[in-house]
Amino acid sequence: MALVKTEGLTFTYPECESPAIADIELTIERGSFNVLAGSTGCGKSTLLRLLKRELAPLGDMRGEIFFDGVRLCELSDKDSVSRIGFVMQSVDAQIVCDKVWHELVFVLESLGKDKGFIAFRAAETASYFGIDSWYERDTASLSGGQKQLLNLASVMMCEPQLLILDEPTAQLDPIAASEFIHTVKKLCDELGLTVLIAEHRLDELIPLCDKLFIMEKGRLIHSGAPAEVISRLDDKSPIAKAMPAAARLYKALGAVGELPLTVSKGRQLAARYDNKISTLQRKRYTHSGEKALELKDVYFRFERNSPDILKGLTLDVYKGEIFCVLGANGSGKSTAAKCISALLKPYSGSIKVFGKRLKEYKNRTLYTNCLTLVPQDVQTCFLYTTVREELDEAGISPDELPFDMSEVLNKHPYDLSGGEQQLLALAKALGSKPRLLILDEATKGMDAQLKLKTAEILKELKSNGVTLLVVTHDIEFAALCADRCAMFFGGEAVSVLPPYEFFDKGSFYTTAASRIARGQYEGVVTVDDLAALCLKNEKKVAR
Amino acid sequence: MKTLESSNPIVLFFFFLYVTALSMFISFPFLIIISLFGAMAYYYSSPAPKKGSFTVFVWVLFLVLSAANPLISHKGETILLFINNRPITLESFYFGLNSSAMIVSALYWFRTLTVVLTSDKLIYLTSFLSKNLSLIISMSVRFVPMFGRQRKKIKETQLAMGLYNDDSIVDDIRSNIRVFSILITWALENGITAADSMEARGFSLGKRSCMRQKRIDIFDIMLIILMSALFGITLAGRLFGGMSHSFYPRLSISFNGIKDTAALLSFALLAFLPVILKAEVSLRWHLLKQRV
Repeated sequence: MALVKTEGLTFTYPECESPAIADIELTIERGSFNVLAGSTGCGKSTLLRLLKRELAPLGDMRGEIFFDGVRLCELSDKDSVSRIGFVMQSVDAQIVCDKVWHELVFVLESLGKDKGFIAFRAAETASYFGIDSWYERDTASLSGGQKQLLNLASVMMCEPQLLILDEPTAQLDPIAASEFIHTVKKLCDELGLTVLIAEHRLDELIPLCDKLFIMEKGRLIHSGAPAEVISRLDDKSPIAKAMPAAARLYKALGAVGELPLTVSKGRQLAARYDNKISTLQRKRYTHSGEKALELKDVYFRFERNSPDILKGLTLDVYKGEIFCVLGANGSGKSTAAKCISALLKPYSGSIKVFGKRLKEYKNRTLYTNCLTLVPQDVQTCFLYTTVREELDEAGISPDELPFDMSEVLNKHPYDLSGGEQQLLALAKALGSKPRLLILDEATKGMDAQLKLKTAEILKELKSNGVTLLVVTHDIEFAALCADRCAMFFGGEAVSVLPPYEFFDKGSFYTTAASRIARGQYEGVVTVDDLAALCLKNEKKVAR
Repeated sequence: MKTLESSNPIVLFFFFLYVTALSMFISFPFLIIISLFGAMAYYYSSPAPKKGSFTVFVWVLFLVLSAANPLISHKGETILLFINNRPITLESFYFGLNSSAMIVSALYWFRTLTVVLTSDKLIYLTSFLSKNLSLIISMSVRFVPMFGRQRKKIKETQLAMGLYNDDSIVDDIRSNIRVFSILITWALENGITAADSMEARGFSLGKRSCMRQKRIDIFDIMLIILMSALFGITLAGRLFGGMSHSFYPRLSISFNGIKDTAALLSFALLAFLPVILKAEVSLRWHLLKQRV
């Protein structure tokens, strides 16, 4: 018998005419790993929250939800809390207590368990999740990945049967996100936990999952084994762009046979093609020669006795290019962005913006018609109750924007999805008419479709003469829009190259398409490149 | 033996209760001096941040307070000099010295208290009163610094996104109001998520339990008994008429032999207890290391 089963589940928010989700028939088997995919605003979160009674939104619900054969509403309060776990997107706001151990035991304290039992559960959970080394620390001192792991562990304390995760990795960097997902998978394999996870970052999840659900406009349009669902999926569907690179290649080539999900399976597919033409004809990238930004031997540290964050950073960004800065956490990317925007002061070295030293920009003239930084945490710039007022404040009208925000003009900024919030912040930044725009993690919380759109927006800004410095973790995004990429490591820019050389050189820090093409073709960055090369070459003749 | 900080928080609680109560209610000059030195010894051996600036603050305050009393109060017999036809008396000076020493010692004790009574110890102590109260304290301990960090982030964003118009005071005030407003919105929005997260983990189920990490061992009990005994002896010394003094009209300190000596000695032992324990522990470590 299935663990969760819904029958004709329809939900309408108050004062809304059309339902947020309609006629959902969802079946989740025990011990399975389920992924729920869909573009922003398709009703994923509403569905997930309905499955956890304490978080169910207010509104009109029709249809039935069965949990373990019982109606969800008939479950006792304690069972509902302890048998269904829920991890949310917001890494910080979910944490309640100031010490790690206190956060961990929160649920068992709520359930009123005796202290011996709690101590035992805390000990074994902390050991299993590797929390033991930071068990006594303040929750504020943890990294994003550690915080989300703590959120997971503190939900797992009461041994739930069903774990629901609503975009748990949206605010994490790719490495922390990957670790998190594998931890969840491990729980599923080792403890027989049933997992239902909604995500935008699907390339890594889909090869792991047993069942893939796809939602569109409040309806469940596909469900089944991942390979089967993807092959049925319409190419024009917004979610199609979010599928793993190998699967997209398969579809682009119109191949037959088993649908590949992983890089290694993708390589087998690419190997069916010849490699007589091994590289695409590209125009060599040449910069304008005029420097928009010049960093020379910049050294920075936070305190006198702390280690250097930037160690002799030297970097030139030329006018009218999109320059992507890549690198792991703690490599000094964001610190460099803050130094360039004069929010932090390096103790040695020089930074010139449009040929002028930062010091020479008096009275905040640096920030008018010159340089603007869109920070990582964009919620720090929202002040008003509607998007329209936000844009008015920044002195920019919706028609001037290089992208369309008309649909959300009357919404509250906090009601926008993470990706839309990023776009709104970008719109506000454009109000000061910058010539050099610095974006820190611009694609945080964006789905695949919005990422493509953002890449287009950046290219359009570039054609309007704006120079862009994009700090990002997102390799695939950098591959889409960068003119040049720089790899940061240990506070230095290690390698600065155009993307087709940059991603060709790296073997770990590179796009999935480039990994698939490795050894067969050169200069491949995106799936489209790879598909074009495969089609130019003929299929190998079977010998 | 172990140090006071590594004992059960209840021991810490009783220590501070006893020592501050005695030094505030028995303002006997010798006792105040002992209390001051005990507090200073404990404070400077603790891992308190910014010891230098606190020291400057405390001793400037000491000078101001002890200078202020003779200027305000003109009681006393021994006149030192006249200022504006008003007498400045020696007794009044002594009184000022004594009360500002008391205030300074209290400042040292409480500053040390905030350092050694870490948030988890505070939560443990309040959990005896109410489990919900201790949870609220735990949440506030997290939220208050988080507010500060978020405020800094918002200011940076406002600056770097060019939302300041020009460099004037009016604009600065306006932007500070803006920062505050954004901070409140952010706090409320995040509060909803926090409330959801608490609800999902059964906050409203009813009676909470509390996992105490700390056990009370025999040494904790011995320490409490010892401290209570020392407290009792000092208090008894006072209650049975010992340690009496008066500043006006003329300074008189009566010191009647064995009774007061016992009371002061036991207070000294109490006030220096944390440092003695610390010294004992580090000495033992030293010996252990030598043996190895």
